[in-house]
Amino acid sequence: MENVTFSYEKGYGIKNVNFTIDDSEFTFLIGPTGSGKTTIMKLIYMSLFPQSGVVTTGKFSSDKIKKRKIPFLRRKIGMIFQDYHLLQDRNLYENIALPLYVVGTRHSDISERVEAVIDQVGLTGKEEHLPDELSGGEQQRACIARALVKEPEIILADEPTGNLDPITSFELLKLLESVNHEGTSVLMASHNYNLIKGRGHRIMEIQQGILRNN
Amino acid sequence: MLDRLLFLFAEGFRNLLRHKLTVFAAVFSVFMTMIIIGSLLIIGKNTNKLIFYLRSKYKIEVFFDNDLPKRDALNLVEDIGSIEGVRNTTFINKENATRIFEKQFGESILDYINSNPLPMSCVVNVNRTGDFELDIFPIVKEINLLQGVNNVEHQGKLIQRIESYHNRFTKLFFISSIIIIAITIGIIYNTIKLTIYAKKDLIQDLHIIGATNTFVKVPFLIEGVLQGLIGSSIAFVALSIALKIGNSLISQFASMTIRMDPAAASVMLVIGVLISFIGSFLSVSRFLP
Repeated sequence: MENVTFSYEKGYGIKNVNFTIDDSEFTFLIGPTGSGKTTIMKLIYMSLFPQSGVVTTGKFSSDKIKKRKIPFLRRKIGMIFQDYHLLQDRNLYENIALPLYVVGTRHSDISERVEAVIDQVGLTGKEEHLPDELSGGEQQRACIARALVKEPEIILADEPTGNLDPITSFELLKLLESVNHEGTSVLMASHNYNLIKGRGHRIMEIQQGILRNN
Repeated sequence: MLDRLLFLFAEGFRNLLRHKLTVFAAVFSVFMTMIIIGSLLIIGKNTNKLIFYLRSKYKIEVFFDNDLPKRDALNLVEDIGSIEGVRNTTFINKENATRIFEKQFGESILDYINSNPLPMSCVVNVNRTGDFELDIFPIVKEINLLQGVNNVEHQGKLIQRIESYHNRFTKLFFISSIIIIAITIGIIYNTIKLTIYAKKDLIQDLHIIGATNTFVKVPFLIEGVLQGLIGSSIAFVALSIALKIGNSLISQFASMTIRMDPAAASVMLVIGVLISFIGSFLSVSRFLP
């Protein structure tokens, strides 16, 4: 992000934010609720566009990208949300397979890839379960699997542990770290400093829309 | 590509099963529309047949003056035959007129009167090429102007009235079909709108994971088209059964049968699918810009 400013009608947003995330880097974005963490995420996957400055994600730049190219940018990003965003009328397997249908993966390859990520996140045997039949931690693992299955260049995790107990949160963090070890960049937003301190990763702190400590 | 298409079709099918109530409303609307349009098509087609039959029976009878010599009468027949719109003429001399009388009434007029009072006449058949309303009044007018013509008999007014009713019916059919189609498009539009609202989470998630607009829209369009196909197919089956029952009832007191043209059946299916496609396309374009 280069000198990025964005404000909503009500006045919240971010001001003159600058940072870069390198390949295979694990970065924490911490700050209180309403500080601008989600806004940064949305700017990265171009759900929002800066009023000034430029956001560059891979080869896509916010000042040049055409609207019809945005889906192709998002295929390079894996999104994880606090409230999971799993489709309640589909089972775990179908939820995870969905991004592969979107990108046009061959049907014969889908099964293999979905099974592999389900195994990676430790949900083997739960393929037929509906989201309602999974615990919060399992649902968040399913979200990670859905993000991973399309082999993204970066994972954006927006408060992924917000609804989880401390032990499950820690397990989830370790899972994201293992994903990062395999070469995927991770940007994880959180307001839980105790969870992320001492992990040896870069921490960016945002307060009232201003990046204080990068 | 093929896998993606199959997935989108499967999604369209699944949508039908996931939103049973709204789908039922849409299918029922298409069904009712197609029942009305189908009935009007059948009535229209069968009325057309009746009109063609009446037109085929259309003839003008010209009676000549009683004292007109036969040679002059034959000349008159020739003159009538050359009038524009006349297909052919048949001359009926006094002897043939007596025979026709006897055939119609079972007794010879000569049994009661010594001399033959029946005039010479001629039957005029008019041209009936094309699917247009017949207007024989110019021909009748021209015949009436000929010297030696005593009387011209025809069913012009009756047929004109039938043709006029037929025209009115065709216009009414057209206008009511447009209104019904517009209402059904509105219902489909709202059904798809409700489905889009019900699936706003899915739509948002699809956009976040990189789905193009086409990928998001196609299942809704497929869902709409399937609703149309199902509604119009059920309507077609229902109309066929109704016709079968109707014909068996009619056959007890008349030799007439009402038929459904295969073309009408195809038209029904095409209209049903088209209505649903337009309704869902408008809705998708409006709510998934």
